[in-house]
Amino acid sequence: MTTLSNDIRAALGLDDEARLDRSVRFPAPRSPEGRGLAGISPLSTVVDELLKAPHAAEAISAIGRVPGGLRRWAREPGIFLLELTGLTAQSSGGASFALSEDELVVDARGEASFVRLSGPQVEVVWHLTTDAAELLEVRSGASAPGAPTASLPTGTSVSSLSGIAPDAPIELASPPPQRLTGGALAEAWLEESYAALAASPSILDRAAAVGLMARCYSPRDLSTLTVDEVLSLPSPLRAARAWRASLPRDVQDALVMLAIARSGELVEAFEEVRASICAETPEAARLARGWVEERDRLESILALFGEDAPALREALDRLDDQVAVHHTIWSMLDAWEDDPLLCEVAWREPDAWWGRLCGS
Amino acid sequence: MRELSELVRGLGEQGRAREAAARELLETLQQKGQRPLRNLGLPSDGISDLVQQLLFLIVTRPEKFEDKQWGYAIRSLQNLGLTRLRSERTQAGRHQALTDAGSGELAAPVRFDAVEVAERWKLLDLAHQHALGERKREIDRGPLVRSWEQIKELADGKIEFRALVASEQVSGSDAGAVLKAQNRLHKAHERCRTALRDAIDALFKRGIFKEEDRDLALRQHRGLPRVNTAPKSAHSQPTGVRAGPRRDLQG
Repeated sequence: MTTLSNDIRAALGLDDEARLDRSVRFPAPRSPEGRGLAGISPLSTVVDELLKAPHAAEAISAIGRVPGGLRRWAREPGIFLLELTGLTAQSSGGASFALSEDELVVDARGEASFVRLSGPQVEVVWHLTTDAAELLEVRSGASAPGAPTASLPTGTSVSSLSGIAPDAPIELASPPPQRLTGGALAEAWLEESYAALAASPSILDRAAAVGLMARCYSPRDLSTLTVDEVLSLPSPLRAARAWRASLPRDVQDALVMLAIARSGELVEAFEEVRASICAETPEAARLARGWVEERDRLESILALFGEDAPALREALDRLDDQVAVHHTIWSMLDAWEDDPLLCEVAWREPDAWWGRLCGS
Repeated sequence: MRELSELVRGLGEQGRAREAAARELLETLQQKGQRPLRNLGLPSDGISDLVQQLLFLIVTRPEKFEDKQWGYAIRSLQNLGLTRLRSERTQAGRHQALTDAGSGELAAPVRFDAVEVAERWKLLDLAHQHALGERKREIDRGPLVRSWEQIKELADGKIEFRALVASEQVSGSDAGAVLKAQNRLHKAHERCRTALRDAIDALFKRGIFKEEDRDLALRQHRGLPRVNTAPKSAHSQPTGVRAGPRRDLQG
């Protein structure tokens, strides 16, 4: 539970009974630009820039679609942009400016800023600093512990994450792969990848194992089957989504939030990959392959949720958009044409740009 | 002939309507896939299995195909064909030397027919025109024109990156000069790709791009990496980064 001073509570309109539970924290980027080393501009300049350039929002690095659609300005991490559609905001600390009716610029560079957002199914407080953006859930003190509180659809909020910090242990075991394949064995590389991910200490990896099998499994020889027989084959994706839907709601929400957070980390990590490839360091290929694998794991998580996690889809689109401006660096690498994962992705998901790295 | 999206929707029906959609899908894939797969060097008796594999994929993951055109499905089929050929080559390689006939480099597939290529570049060309319009000075426009041509040629497999790097080398032929030239290219392309992305956004905000145009353009913008697939020289490594001096580029 997070404790706020009485002054802040009063400014935010929180009654004495209200309890604040930390649900997720987005640390500020580590890049020189992200640390604000580019220089500190006055808030008026920031606002000017956001107002003048219609595409200035592109300069704001998204940190996940969460209540209030919070985004962080890439140039100065203490500057945040909140989208308030359908929400009311009360703030304490820092400075703020209403960019439009539905957008609020918050300057938390000088001091920490707290912004309470209220609306249908939303009751949260953002704790914004130059170091991080932290989401606090407002819970009524009258509620019994564990009682359901404001709940949002999976992928658009971290509500229901009470008690689950991103790094807290969560019970989640990958099912036996045959449960997804209708009892059949997958190709050796896929069985091995599944086993490795399923044994990972990370719940994201354990869930990604299921998504990977759903994305990459096909029965071995289909040429002798009729169309009717193909139509009646068990669908690994359906089985994987049924498994995901059987998970407790808070675990599902945690998976989406963790995946969104990891997509943010991948944006940060890409800089190292880019620099390494451009400098032709000996570890460049390994770094790049590791990065691509992480990107692919997030696709496996998305496969589990499909349309039920629009926020994750958006986060991954943003990640891909940011990486896309550097796509020329891949030309400095030789094709990974013997990589089974990338080759499978290339034909199963031609839209997935990393599938092209196998030379397809 | 019905559109792919229509048939994929048909797979969501029940009973005979579903079966009919699946049959038509299979037949159309077999018909449209014949030539591209044969161009890869696949025997015709191996094609039906690939088509069935794709049918299974579309049946089990319809959302990946429901807003796509036939060219997308054929690209998927070509990539599956390439994967199959590579796998066969790897297996064969266990038994015979790589220098044997038939175990050489795979030819880059012809990805799209001319109409599909034109369609694919349409939105991004528009965005590029918009980005050019934003730049009044020739000194700003020239690099944007050149980089965009290079990016498209790279993406289509018409040119290899190392050839571009060689053309960018203004002086020297040592490893340092090569590194400088390729980083200069990367920076120029980065600026061009960023300008394109900004232009897509600007065109959407001005109402010139509808939401679906913007989404498609962004998807196409994301899909422009091109890894090096040129035949490996004796000096390059088997996979991954070609480290060390680029002797194959030296005078």
